[in-house]
Amino acid sequence: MTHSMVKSLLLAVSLTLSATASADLGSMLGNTCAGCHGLNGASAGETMPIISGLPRDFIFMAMKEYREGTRGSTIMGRIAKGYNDQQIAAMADFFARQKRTPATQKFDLAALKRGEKLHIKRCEACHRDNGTSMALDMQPLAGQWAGYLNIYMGTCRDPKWKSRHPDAMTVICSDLDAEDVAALAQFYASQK
Amino acid sequence: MTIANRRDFLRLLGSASLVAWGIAPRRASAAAKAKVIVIGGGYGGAIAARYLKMGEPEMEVTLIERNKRYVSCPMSNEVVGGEASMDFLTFGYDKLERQGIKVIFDTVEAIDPQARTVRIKSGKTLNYDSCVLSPGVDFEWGDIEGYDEAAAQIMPHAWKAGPQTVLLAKQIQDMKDGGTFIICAPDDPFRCPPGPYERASLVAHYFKRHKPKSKIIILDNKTKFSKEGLFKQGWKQHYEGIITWHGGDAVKRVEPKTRKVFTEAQTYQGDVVNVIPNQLAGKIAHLAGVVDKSTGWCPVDFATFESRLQKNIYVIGDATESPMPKSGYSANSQAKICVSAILARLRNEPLTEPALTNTCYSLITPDHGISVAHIFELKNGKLSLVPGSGGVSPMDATPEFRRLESIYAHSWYKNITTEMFG
Repeated sequence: MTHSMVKSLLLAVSLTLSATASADLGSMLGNTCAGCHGLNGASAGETMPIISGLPRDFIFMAMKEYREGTRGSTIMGRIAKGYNDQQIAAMADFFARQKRTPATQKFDLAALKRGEKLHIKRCEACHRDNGTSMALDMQPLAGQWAGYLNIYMGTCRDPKWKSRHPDAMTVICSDLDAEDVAALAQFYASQK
Repeated sequence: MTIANRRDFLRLLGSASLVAWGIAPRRASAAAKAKVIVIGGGYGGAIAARYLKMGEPEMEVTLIERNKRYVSCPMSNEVVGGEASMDFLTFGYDKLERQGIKVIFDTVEAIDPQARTVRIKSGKTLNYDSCVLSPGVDFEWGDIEGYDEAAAQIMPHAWKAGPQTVLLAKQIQDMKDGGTFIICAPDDPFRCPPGPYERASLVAHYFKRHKPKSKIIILDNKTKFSKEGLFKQGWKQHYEGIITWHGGDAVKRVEPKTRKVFTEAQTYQGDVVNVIPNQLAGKIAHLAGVVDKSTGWCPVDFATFESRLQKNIYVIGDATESPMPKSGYSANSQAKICVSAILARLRNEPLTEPALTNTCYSLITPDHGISVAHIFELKNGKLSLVPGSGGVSPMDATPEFRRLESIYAHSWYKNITTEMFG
């Protein structure tokens, strides 16, 4: 066995071990989130976001922003401060691997239509394919709880919400009214 | 084999997840043939049973629970304050049974840690390899003179949800306008540290609308309490002149017939009296010999939640002696670490260093929620808070912030109970 073969074998073994450790860490940490976000992130509560099957890098960035205080929240900022980068990465891996589980909810047809128009006009450039796309690590909005989306967009357009949301969302949402927000939330919630 | 690029690495990560301990199943092993008994089907036990079965679907998991229907203590103050009905708190075990968990509705009469057996009231004796106890709390009857189980029919504790919750809610509804509701709060440590103060808040909310001349007095041996700043700010905002808290005033004696409460300093006349007695680990823990007699609680190894006093018996939830608050979320978090440890041991695999969390919401009005979060890490065998993490909601937050927390409280409840029973 050549020196380089030994080296790559050792590398493979160490990566396997660290990957196993990371998956163990991920499921252990991910399980601690389930009390609020549902089993494996499949939230059953209509104002808690479904986090199963979100893009890994989106979860990682969102947790880091909560921790640094650059993403507004009521409680997530306090919780995210409890974890280091390695732990956040392991959690993000865990939830990204989970099957995406759209919420079962009721819709108002008039709101859906209004929401679709607003989506095409204002949101589609980033949230492509009716909000199903995960391109560029975008959070998929399709099948998400309307209750959560409503609150999220509502806080984006609230000037009293002190912590800063990702800038683009603050600008996009600033001149939406409550009815627009509710319509958009309904539209994305209805998409599969 | 070399790791060529990020995609290969991620694939490796993906395949590794299939063999990770935790909840990923695997082929028949010693764990699959093991028998695990979980005693107590609440916030700790129901989660333990469910995660054991998810982690090892072939394993025989038995849940022994006294009551056919579970009544949740979290959110029960909403029933006391007339905002919700008992249906909101009540759950069945049918979905756990459908997942292959053997649910036995019976009372445990004896546990033999040496023989590893559990005897139940119907006469059966069951064997186990590992036994998880989630016994909750019992009361220190006798700490307050005149307060016993009979007195609790007149002055309800309502600290175990069920008929006691209904009784207290009814007394409050039947009380005359202008009456006095007295809450006697327990000493630390006890189940649900913010509970007595949330109860005062939600009853005050009810009084304000239906019996505006009524008052609430909290008699408390403690000189500080959970989320104190936030509660006091909320009381000033919503219930000025309705709620009075007397800290450092221990209740010595009660007279159920006259509804009088005696502290060292004074005598109080109540119309409705809620006595929440001091607490200790539930009876089953005493049967199993896992209670430290000097404290009344169960010492455990925090890496596994195995009892420090008996091998192969694990204790989770309110009965444990731990720096974690005695909350539903703590029990949930402890159950998962305990299950991971049991499965790892049965499979002869190493343990992962645990992280434990607690999240707890309280309502001051139905639209004014507050919260606390804790993240614990294990260092040198001790659980300690991760520095700089967690804590309570900010003081002086906007009404919108408080409203959001009241909304999240309900989604939290929906998720944690669905994780247990759905």
